[in-house]
Amino acid sequence: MAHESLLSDAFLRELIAVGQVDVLVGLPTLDNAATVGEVARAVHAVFTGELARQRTVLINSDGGSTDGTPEIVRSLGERDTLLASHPLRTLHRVVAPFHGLPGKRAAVQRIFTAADLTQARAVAILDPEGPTATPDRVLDLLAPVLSGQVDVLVPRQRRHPRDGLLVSQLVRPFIRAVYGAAIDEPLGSEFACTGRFAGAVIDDEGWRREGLRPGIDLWLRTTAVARGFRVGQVWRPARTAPTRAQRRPTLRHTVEEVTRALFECLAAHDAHWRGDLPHVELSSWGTEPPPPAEPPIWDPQPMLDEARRGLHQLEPLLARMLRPDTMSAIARAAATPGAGLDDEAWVAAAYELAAASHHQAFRNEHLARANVPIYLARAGSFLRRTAHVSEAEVHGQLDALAREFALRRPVLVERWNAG
Amino acid sequence: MLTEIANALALAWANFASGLVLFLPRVIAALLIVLAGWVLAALCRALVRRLLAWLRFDRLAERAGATELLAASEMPRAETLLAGLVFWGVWIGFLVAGVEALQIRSLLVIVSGLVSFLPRLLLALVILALGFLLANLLWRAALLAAVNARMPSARLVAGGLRLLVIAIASTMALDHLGLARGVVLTAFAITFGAVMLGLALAFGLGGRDLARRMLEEQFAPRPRSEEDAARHL
Repeated sequence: MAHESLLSDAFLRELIAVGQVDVLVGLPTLDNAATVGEVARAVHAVFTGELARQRTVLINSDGGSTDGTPEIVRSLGERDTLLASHPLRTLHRVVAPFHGLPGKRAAVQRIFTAADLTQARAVAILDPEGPTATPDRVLDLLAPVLSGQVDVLVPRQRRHPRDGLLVSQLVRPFIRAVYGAAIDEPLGSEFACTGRFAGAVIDDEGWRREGLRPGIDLWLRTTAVARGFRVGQVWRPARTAPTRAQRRPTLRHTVEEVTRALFECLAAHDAHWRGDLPHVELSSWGTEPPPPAEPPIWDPQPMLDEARRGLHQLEPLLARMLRPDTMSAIARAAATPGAGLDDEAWVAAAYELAAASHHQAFRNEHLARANVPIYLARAGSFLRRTAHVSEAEVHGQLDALAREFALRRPVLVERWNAG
Repeated sequence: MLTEIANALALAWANFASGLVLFLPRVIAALLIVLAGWVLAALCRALVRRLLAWLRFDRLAERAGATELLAASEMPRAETLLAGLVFWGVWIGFLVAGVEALQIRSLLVIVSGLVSFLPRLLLALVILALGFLLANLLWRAALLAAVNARMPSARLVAGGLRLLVIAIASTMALDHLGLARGVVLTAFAITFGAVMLGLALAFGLGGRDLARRMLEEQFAPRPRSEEDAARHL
C-alpha cells in the first residue's frame, strides 16, 4: 500500500469505484494508435466472453501519446477500462529502450500497484503491438494463472536458431546457466502473473535500479525464478517483424541496455544463484507451432569488420577488464580479419565482465558498452559458422554454447565471490 | 704566557663543556621527539593501510584508473602511496618539532620555510591526483562512446582528451606551487592554442570532405544496416 502515491488521486478514485477484481489486464502504451485497438478489442472479447463471470478491468497506462491511443482504448470499453498515465523523462522521448516502449517500467509499476489495491487474482501485461491480438491468445495467457496452476506465465516462440542472436548467444544461455531456468524468451514483452506475485515484488528495490529501467521484463522473469514462484511458458506463433522498428534504438545501444540489465539482475539476485545451481522446472502450455521459415542469411563480414575495428580500439581498456587468456582471444579476434570468437572465449568474456560489474572496479554502463564489439565478433562468427548448415546442426551449436555457459558457471561464482 | 694560554684553553673548554651540557639535553630531547614521531607515524601508516583495505580503496583506485597509472610509472599502489604520505606528513611534523627543540636559529629558518611550502606541495599533489583521476575517467568514457559511435580514431580522440586534462591539471599544480608561473602559463597557453588552431585548420581545410561526411552521418537519418537491432532480439 506504500505505493499509492504512484497513482494520481483521480485514478485512485476510479480504482476505488471499481473495487475488488479477479482479472486485471495492463496495457502500457505510447503512440500505438495503429495497433492498440486490435489488442484492446481482444481483451474486451475475453472479458465479455469466457471471463464474463469474473470481475475484470483493463488499465491503459499511457506515457503521453499524441496520436489518440488512450481515446481508442477508452472508446472500446467505457465501463471496464481505466486510463492511467506514467511520466516520461526527456531522455525517454529521445532514446527508446530496446523493447520500443519508453516508460514501460513506470507503467508496469503502476499496473502492479493497481493490482495490489484491487486484490486482483490474475494480472496480464500486454504489448500494444504484440502478438496477443486475438481473444484466444489473451485467454491462453490468463487461464493457467487464474486456475492457480502457475504464478508467472511467459510466452515462448518457435524461432529459427539463427533468429534473435542476442537472446540465443547471450541472454538465454546465461540465464539458464546462472538461474537454472530454461526460459526461451527472457526479454519477451508480455506475461501474466498472480496478484500474489505482483504484490510480492511491488516493494522490491529493483524498481529503483537505474540499469533495470529498460530491462523490466528480464528482471520480472528472473525475480520470479529467484523468489521461487512457479514459472511456466505458453507457446505463441512465430512473431512477425516489429512495426516499431523506427523507434527502436541501434543494435549497439540494444546490446548495451540488455547487457547492463543482465548484470543488474545478477546483482539483484546474487543471494539466490551464488550457491549450488538450482534447477527450475518450467511447465509449458499450448501447442508447439510449426517451424518458422528460415530467416534470410546475412553476410556476417560487415559485422565482423566492425567488431575487429572496435576491439582493436578498445584493447587497452579491455585488457583491464578481462583476464589475460581471455584478452589473448580478444586480441586475436582484433588482429585477424574475420576471426570472431569461439564459445570458450565468448563465455569467458561474458562471465568476466559480469564479475567485474559486481566488484565495482568499473561502471556497469562502461562494461556493457565494452561488450558491444565483443558481441559483434561473437554474433558475426556464429552467423558465418552456421550460414550453410541445417537447422538441427545450428540447434546443436546452441546446445554446445549452453553447455559451455553451464560448465563455466563455477568460475563466475568463484570470481563473483572473490570480491 | 703559558699560563694565559692554559687559562684561555680552560675557559674555552669550560664554555664548550657548559654549552655541551646545555645542548646535549636538547639533542636528546630532539632525538626522542623524532624517534617518537617515527613510531607514531609508522602506527598511523599501519592504521591508514588497514582502514583503506577495509574501505576497499584498491577498487576505487582501480575504477578511477589510478592503479594502472601508478603501475605504469613504477610507483607503489595507491593505498601504499596514501599510507606513505600520511607517514611522512606525521613524521615531518615531529621532525620540525625536534629541530625546534634544538633551538638553532638558522636551522629553524630553513625548516620553517620548508614547512610553509609543504601545504602548497600537498595541495598541488592533490590537484595532480584529481587531474589524473578525471583524465582517466574521461578517457574511458570517451573511448567507449567513440568506439560505439564508429569513430575512425577513437583511441586517438580519447587519448588526446586524457592528455589535455593531464596538461591542464599539471599546469594548475605548477601554478599553485608558484614554480616559474609565467613560463608555465605562457607555454601552456601557446601550446594549447597552437594545437587547437592546428586541429581546426586540419579538420576544416585538410579534412573538409571528412568533416562534411562525419556531420552528415551524425545528423542525417541513417539507413538501417546489417546491425538492425530487431534481428538480434
